[in-house]
Amino acid sequence: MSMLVFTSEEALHLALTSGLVPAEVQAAPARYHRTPDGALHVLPEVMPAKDVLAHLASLGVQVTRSRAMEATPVLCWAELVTARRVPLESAPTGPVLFLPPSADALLPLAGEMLRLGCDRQEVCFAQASGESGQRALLRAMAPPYFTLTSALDASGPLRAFVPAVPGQHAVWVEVGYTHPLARTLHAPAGTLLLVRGEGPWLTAPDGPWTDLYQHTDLRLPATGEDWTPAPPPGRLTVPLRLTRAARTEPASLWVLREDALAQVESLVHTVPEPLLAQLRFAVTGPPEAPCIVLRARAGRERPPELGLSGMAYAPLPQLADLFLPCDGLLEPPVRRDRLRALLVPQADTVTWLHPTGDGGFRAERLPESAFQPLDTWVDYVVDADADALMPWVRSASFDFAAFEAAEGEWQSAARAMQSDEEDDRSPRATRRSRREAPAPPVTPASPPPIVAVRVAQPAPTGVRLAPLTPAQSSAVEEELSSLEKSFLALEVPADSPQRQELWTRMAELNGRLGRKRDASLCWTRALWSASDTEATELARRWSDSENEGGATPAERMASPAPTGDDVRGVASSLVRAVRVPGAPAPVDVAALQRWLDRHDAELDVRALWLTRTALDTLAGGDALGLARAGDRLLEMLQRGLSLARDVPRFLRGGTDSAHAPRVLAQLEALLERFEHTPRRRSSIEAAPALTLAYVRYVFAVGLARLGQADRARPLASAAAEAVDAKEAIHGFLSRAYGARVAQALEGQPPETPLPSDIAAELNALGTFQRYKVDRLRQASALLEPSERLDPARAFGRGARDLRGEEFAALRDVKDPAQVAARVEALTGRATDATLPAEERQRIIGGLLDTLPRVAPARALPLLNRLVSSMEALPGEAQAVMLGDALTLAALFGRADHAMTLAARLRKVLTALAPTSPAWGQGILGVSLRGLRRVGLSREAAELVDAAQERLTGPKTPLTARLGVAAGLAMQGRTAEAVDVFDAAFESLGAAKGGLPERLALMRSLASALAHAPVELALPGLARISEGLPIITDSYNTNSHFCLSVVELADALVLGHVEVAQGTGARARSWLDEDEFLVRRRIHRELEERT
Amino acid sequence: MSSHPAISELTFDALSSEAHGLRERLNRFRLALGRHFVGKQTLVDLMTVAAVAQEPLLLVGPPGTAKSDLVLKFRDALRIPNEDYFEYLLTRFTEPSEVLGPIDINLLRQGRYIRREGGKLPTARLVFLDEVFKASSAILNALLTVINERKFYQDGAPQPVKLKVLFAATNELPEHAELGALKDRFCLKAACRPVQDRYFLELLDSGLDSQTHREMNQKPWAEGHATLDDVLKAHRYLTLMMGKRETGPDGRELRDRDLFFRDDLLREFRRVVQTLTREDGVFISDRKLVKLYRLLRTRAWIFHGGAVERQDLQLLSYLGETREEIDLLEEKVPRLLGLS
Repeated sequence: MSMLVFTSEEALHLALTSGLVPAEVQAAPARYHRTPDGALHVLPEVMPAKDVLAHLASLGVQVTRSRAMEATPVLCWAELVTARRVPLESAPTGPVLFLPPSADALLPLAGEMLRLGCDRQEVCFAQASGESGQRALLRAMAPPYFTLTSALDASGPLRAFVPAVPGQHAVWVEVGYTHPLARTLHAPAGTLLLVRGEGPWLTAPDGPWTDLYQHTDLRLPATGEDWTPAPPPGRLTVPLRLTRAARTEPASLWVLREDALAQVESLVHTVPEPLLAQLRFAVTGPPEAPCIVLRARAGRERPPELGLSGMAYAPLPQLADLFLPCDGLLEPPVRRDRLRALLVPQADTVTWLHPTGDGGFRAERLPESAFQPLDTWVDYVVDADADALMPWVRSASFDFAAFEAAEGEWQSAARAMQSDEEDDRSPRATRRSRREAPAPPVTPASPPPIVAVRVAQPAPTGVRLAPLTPAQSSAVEEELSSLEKSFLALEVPADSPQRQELWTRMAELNGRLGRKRDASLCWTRALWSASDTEATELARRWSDSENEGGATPAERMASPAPTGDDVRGVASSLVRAVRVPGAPAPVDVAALQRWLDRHDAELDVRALWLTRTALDTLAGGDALGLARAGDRLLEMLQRGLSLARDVPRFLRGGTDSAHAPRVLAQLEALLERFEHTPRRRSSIEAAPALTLAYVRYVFAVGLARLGQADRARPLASAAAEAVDAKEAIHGFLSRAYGARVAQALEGQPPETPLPSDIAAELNALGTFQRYKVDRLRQASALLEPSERLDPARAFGRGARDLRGEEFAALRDVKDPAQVAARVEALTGRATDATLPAEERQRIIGGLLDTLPRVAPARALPLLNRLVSSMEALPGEAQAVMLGDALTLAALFGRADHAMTLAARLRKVLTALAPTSPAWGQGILGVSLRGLRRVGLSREAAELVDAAQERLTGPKTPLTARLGVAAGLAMQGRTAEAVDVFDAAFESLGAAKGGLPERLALMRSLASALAHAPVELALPGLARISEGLPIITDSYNTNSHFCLSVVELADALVLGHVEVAQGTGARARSWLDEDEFLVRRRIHRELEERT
Repeated sequence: MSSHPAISELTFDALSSEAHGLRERLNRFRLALGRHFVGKQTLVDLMTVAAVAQEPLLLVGPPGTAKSDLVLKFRDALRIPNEDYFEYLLTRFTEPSEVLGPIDINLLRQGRYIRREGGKLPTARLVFLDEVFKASSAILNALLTVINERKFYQDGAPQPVKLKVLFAATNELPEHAELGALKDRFCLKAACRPVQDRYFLELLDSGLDSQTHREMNQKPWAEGHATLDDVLKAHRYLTLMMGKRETGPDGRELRDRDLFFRDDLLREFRRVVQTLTREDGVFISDRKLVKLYRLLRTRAWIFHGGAVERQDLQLLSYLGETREEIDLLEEKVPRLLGLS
């Protein structure tokens, strides 16, 4: 009998992997002997053929006659190759097979795992061959690490195994070891092959497996007891009582019952006029002894101290139109809705609880309309002027209606006062109206009411890229166009089978039209959600389509400058090699990986991921490579899908092409309006040409975002010529706007940071220059879309960056590793429990702005730490930060985190006063977009509903209500938003408030309208622009431009851009869903494979 | 009069004859002392183990959770005289001289920088440092040397300190890296938690009793079951025992672990350490591992006089480095060991 002598284990390994030893010989048992010098003497049970032996001999393998020696039997030749030890980084998340030393040891093992929370266990009992007694195997999913440590102890009796190839359950390798040939091994059907790290390999029957619980009797400590429901013994009566609170709230309502008129008279004689303007009054009771109710307007400022001798009341925090005595407390605390039903049953009434002693009280109420501004009741006169005295005397005599009291409630006899304010005001002209010039600024004619209109989806048009005969092109294009139309009209989820079919067909048609890139985008979308069997077929067709008539993958890889077609061709072949059985696999996986590392920027995110997972499969598991690819992809997705790279042409830009001409025409008209409308100017304003230059920049960025390169570039050039680029402020702004135009034309997302050289210029500006630049950055969302600025505070502190010097310095750091390290250090500081709240708020705010610069894998734990340290911060700050955190969680694709954050944000928002300035900071908008990005539409709707409920009161600032309206419009609930739009227009028309407030309102309105259907949005935006003639300011930015004008232009242009990009339409919502699908699969596969 | 020089000279045989009595006294001591607290028996036990093993112990907890009271009563119960005890509440303004002793002015005039250490930390055998992490860097540096090498520097020359038992307390565990070294010196860190939720009435009763005792200047907890000398003798006995080598029946040299740490429990010890290191990132240095062995052996000897048993491994619950880790491990270790 012949014996083969291999000089070393490496030689044997090579002979096995190179196929020198035929498969049937390798698979048969053998015996071997290892000599002290490492040579292996192998006595095969199946002897190789003579020619094979000759070949082996020619390669240095000695073939000798067998000698008597002690030889160890092996199951197959692969067992001759020694397994290598590898460290176990963490507990496997898949199945693990445990082999206890005996069946008796199974119970403690299973018990330990059950105790530690692992109950997915199956057991298999078998009679051991050649040994007495029963053996047992235990298969557990994701066993605890603690249990695995027992198997890792080489001196211990327990062994554990993991599948040699993830997904198959026949060949298992001992935990803590790897075997170089494990992937090539096959076990006979119904048998498990256990590859041990040291010692002979084992085989065991594969089943029957039974669930552990089938062998487990769970015993309760005591027998159960069935309870029978019984009716309640009766209703519980709980009297509500007014008790004394520990603290006294500031009064904002006073009920004057005695000497009411005298008290008010005294008040108006002594109180300053601005304070008086904060008060409203209502009169009730009999004319001979009137009762006067005074009420302070709700606002940010503390109500005035009036020192009246009447009863003073403060509003209940959760019910703003119910007033309690300032030191009163309602016991027991009752839910808001119960309280409202009990005490404020009618809307638009003001109710106060008049104490009647011993905790009793009587609810008294007046209609909201009974209250009038107190200053309308007062005329200031000069004593000497007898003529002027008369009106005052007259004005002090009231026409009281009869006072009625019924069932403890005051029915205001002054219900007549419900008549509109004009009636009340007319006989007693107000001080203000008489003092001011009677002619108000030109107010636009009353506009027609806004009506919500459903927008029809237009048919997108395609561009022909490849030559086809006219008849063919026409038919193919027509079909494609019709499919695209159907796609947009579908009301089904992004991964529904209907869409799958459409993707496949659109892929074919794009291919026939020669639009290879679009075809590839359609194929990868079809592949993305396909089942395994479908995927095989789709992978084959995609590869055929990419490589039709083209070069082979090897030729493509050999090209010195591979094109996008080449890279896609190689990628599709690679996916096919993994998916399609029998498809040619690449020979040199490592070379292919290196080639893709250099060129895969040509691929869209889906193709890139499919390629990387295919490489992982081919390489037999490359967890590190895949994790890196995952990080890279998630980084690419940080600002969403790239329209240019990842989205088929017909979905780009939003993409309601039917409305694009209308939007562009209106934008052009708007620019003309800005150029030619004469407007009020402050005496200190710089030359109008300078302001106009910035207006042009704004329009240029907007038009660039809409892909209008031929309009955007000349506008930007004209603007650049009008400003002096050598001057620091003009220079920076000109370069920044120019960069924004270039970025937009390159299709980069709006949130892309300014190029680092320009951003770094900011730090070089002097404090005052920086202040002016920051004012414009704050006012122009097109210039600075993401950073929240407060230039006035920054200037006051002399800070380069309001968030702190650390963040200003961070702006200069370009190395991502350094950024990550600094961000980590700052997170440590921010989460230090001893840090004062204000400082923590500052650092967390800055970090939330900076975290997108850090890789998601490092950023997410930091984000969690930051979020948990926000709890002690004030509600307003928390709301803003939670909104930002939610956006970040969505950017990182973490639906679980986003869901938790949304719940927390909802809670914080619900506790926020409707008057809180936080509402005006766009929290709702960013949060909703984030939630939709990770597919949480239900949570988005709940958030809108919560905000809507909170912001229904009449005193809610319009900007806050517009935030809700934008959310409603975003969800297609435009009809519910229309009232708010109307109210905003009405407020603008009435010129209420100062110019800054009106500008803020215009911006909020434009932003909210942008989410509404085009028929509503465009006329609305046009209407806002009618305010232009009166826009001016006297800020010190007037040395360079009129800030308010540029701000108005920015709000309007941004509104138009959003409308044109269909951001209010179905396509945008679809893109969010699409991004969610991409993120979901990447996260799932990363978890499964790494 | 202190008898510790004599203790350091006692032989193993001499101590062996006393060992049983020592153990009995120490057990009576810890159980009796535990009765004067509500829900703190575990901490009293831990303090006893730490004292016998001469390992510093850090008590972590919010104010008013009896951290100081535990140490004070521990001291009274062992009847430690004033000259052997030093306690100090550290703040960031505490001067080194308040802890280590003031500079001797007369000697300074002669050009020598010598501290008068009488009544301060260098002369005490039981030391309690409250709010230890609030100390200034000068004190922290001195403490590192004191804990590590049991010495401090007088005029540049090292001088031994008498410190045997060190207890420290803190409201919170700092995360600053510069305090990491000192934190690491405390092998065991135990949380001192409020007990009112669980023992409301008992707490009131005990608190009122305690207040009365204080006002009457009574110390019923000083029952005299054991003395500091007993603690020191137990330490010496165990040290000598752990260093012994015996010859087994097969002629093989048997080490301490062969006699007092069963293989299966050593394996469990190792598994818990591996799991805490890998899953929870708990850092256990090589030095700390050896200390843990000594602590486990000490606990086993005090509690049942012989080999280490499974419940002794619960000591690994006190390896947490942060407040979160302390809470986590106190729940996790017993669960891993199946003792919860």
